[in-house]
Amino acid sequence: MHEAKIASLILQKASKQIEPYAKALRVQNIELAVGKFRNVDIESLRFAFNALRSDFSLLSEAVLDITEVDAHAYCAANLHEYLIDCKNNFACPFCGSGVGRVSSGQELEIRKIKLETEE
Amino acid sequence: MHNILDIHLTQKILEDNDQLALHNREHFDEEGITAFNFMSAPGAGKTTLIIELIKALKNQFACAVIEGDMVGELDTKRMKDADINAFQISTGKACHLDASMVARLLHEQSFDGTDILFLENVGNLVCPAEFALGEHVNVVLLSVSEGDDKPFKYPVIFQKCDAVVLTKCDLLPHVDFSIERAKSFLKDLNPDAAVFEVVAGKRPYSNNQFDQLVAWLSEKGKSFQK
Ligand SMILES: Nc1nc2c(ncn2[C@@H]2O[C@H](COP(=O)(O)OP(=O)(O)OP(=O)(O)O)[C@@H](O)[C@H]2O)c(=O)[nH]1
Ligand SMILES: [Mg+2]
Ligand SMILES: [Zn+2]
Repeated sequence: MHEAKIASLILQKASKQIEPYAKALRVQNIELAVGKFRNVDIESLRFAFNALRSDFSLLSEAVLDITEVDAHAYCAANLHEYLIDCKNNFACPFCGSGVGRVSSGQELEIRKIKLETEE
Repeated sequence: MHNILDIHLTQKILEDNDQLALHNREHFDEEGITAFNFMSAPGAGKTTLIIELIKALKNQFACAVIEGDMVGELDTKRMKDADINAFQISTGKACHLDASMVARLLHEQSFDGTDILFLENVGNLVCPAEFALGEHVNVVLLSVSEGDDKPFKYPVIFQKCDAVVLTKCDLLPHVDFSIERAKSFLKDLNPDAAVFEVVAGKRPYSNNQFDQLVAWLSEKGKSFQK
């Protein structure tokens, strides 16, 4: 339910990032990395983004490209690094201990903006 | 002819909230306040438990509560009826508290002299996990009527927390909730989390760990006190 808020922040952050480009015509693409160990629903986010983008002049045709980032953890007992399979099990497949620290999968960031500018 | 420019960057989307949370945290630290963020699904028993906890802690710590609700002030009224210093934040359409809401209240309202501040988040197991408030300690409540599979289904919030309180344990005879199964999910997901089985008030439950929970909170309270 917080996806609308996140979509609006993406648009605000992207607008801010392109401010220095005086010859900017329009943003074609925004590449967003979203970790799988985050409570962000991709479909709702896309829906909210498409509904809100027309409020931002240079972003009204921007396409949101989302890359999902796998979740990994270091296990608590031995610091084995493993893929957190959010479907079946959260424990370490090598030693059976639990998640010590999540090492990836918590990303929520813009990685690239594709901007069309005047010659 | 138009040019296409690829701008490469790392722009974190929630960095403003994270920064404000740090700011709140500094504020708490300056005043020697320990802030607890209480989260759960709607109706798991946050307000009831916080009232009971404050009764048990008030001789040792000056306590206050910030209530986050989408609508109304019912929980704040319950706190005030119990003689507890409580402040309401109405989150409107937002299904969670965020750092800016707490920051605004901290600037309007002095919490001078407070030792322990309870932040009762909006009832929701999803969104509150995404928004840090500046709290020192995260506590998630899971009432036994919700089912023992919830840590597995909502892993993000249960992975982040410092303690899980299994509430309404007096209802165990009436629901299919296995304490063992819930604990086993938690052991995989968050082996460091403390787990307490609790009932609020004088309801019957032989393994009530309310006193252990009070002791755990006191310990945390002391470690951040000035
Ligand atoms: N049987 C039983 N009922 C409880 C217990 N603790 C709370 N309740 C009841 O559960 C209901 C919800 O409790 P609240 O404390 O309002 O729950 P909450 O999490 O604050 O609810 P929201 O703020 O609306 O999300 C109330 O009717 C409480 O009386 C308990 O230990 N046992
Ligand atoms: Mg409540
Ligand atoms: Zn391991």
